[in-house]
Amino acid sequence: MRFFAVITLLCIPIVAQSQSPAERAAERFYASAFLGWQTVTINDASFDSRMAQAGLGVWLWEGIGLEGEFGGSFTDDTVSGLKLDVPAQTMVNLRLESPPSDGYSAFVQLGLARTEVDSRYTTNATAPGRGTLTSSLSGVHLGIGLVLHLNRWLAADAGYSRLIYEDDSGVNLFRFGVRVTPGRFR
Amino acid sequence: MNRCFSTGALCVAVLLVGCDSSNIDALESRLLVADNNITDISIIAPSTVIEVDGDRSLRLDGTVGDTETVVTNSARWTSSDTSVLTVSSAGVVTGITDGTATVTATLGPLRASIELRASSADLVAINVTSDATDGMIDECTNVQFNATGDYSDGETDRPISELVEWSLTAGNIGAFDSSDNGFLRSNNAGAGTVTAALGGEEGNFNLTVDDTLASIVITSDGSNLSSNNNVQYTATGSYGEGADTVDISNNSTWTLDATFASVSNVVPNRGLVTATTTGNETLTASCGGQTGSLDISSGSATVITELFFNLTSPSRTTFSGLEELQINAFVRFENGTRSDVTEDSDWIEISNDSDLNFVDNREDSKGLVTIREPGRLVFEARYLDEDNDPPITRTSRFTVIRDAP
Repeated sequence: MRFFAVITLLCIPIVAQSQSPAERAAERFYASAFLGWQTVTINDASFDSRMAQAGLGVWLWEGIGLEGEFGGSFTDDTVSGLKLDVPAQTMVNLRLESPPSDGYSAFVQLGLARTEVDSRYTTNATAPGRGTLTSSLSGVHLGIGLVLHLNRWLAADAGYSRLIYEDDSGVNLFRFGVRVTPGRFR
Repeated sequence: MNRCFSTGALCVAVLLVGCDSSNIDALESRLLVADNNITDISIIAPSTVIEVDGDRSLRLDGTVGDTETVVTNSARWTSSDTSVLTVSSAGVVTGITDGTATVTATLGPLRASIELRASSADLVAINVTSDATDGMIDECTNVQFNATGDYSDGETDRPISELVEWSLTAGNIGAFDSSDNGFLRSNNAGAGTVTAALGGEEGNFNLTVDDTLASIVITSDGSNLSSNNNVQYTATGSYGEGADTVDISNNSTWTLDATFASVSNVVPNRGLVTATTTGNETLTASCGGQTGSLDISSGSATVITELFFNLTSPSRTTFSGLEELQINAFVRFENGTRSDVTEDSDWIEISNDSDLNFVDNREDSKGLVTIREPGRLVFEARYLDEDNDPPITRTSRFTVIRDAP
């Protein structure tokens, strides 16, 4: 539910903006989609999964964007009979992106992240204490990466993110994808 | 306007995303159980009766194969009736009022329970027992004392060893490791009185330490003493012909009259010698009127005498197929100790018949030799000895020959 609340909040300015005739304003909004893989570490245990994400963003100023991203894993991992996956992951970031140089831009993301982890036992799953447990991790998101500007409205995006929850808990996330600026389709 | 709105949206989103985490402890417990293959847990209680207004520490053991591991602080502890007794996240139970309650520890899918009774009855007597046969032990040996309490409600023999204060109220026969563990290390022959005290009550035990120690022999752990290698020395007591010898290191008083090194007299590390430079001196251990001595020396741990490998060179091999061979390089110091310098050395090929055979010089893989086809590979490990004045590079050469099939 929180995800939908976040996305709704981020979409309000888009709706408002789409009603505006100003083309420059329309160009400030972008959407993105990513595929990647991540390693979730909690204490000494870690598990890997493939993930997909989608995002919406708006350039507040030149090179400074505000974006919301949502995704989850589509594979799971099993640690000694305990199956784990990430059904939902939400991030709200400030994106600091350099001006394009030879078609490339570098970016840094700073924000907050929330990761939900489902754990369930592969055997005796119905026994007391062995059912599905959903846990939520909330913390800080730091990301770096590169953007390749393919044309006016399409860019390729690749980066590494570190989601920090506690000293010994976090997520390492590698992802790549595309970013579309619909206002520049013309 | 839009920027203001977006910034506001960010603030709200931050509040939504950045709030509490949930169920992390439960997930951590599940991972702990899975990662360590813990199959069962059990609660170890010093007593099933808890004093009202008093604390008792429970311990939670996890079964891993044939061994037990302590997981007390990883479990979730609950009390079935917190008006009777409470339990902290560290398994410390506090009695609130008279009654019974069940304390449960949950670790992932595992659960263990114990029924405890909180009691406000007054302590009326303390009984002290020990594992000393007939109240006698050999000098410079140890004895464990236990205390139980009798209470005003008729209850007897409640274990209270960790609650009482232990002391030696008569006789100079030894010392307790601490005032709350009842473990006495004797160091002199004679008669003494051990006292356990709690809440104005006392229990006593008369102990006799026999004058039976015949001699003390000091031995080292086999390593060479140097400024970067402490050595644990052991004092072994002999109790006459035919009797067993006993490690009396932590009962003895150690002396080392030297400036280059010092010896610990703190339990459990009595006899541990720490050197700061080179030198020679006599180390002594005294207990029960006996003294043992040993001449010790601290050699240089910085002067390198050679660079060598952990393997002698396999000049010809009978390898088949792809083979990997990890070679480690060591420096030997003047005092005989050695240090692994595999990752601190450069691994350089001198000659090589095949591009498919090589020695790795990359970080974390240094010294790893890969042999893929017949040929001769000669390489060197080169270590820069910066403690030498002037610094010099020490080298050692290694040859691998793989014959054609």
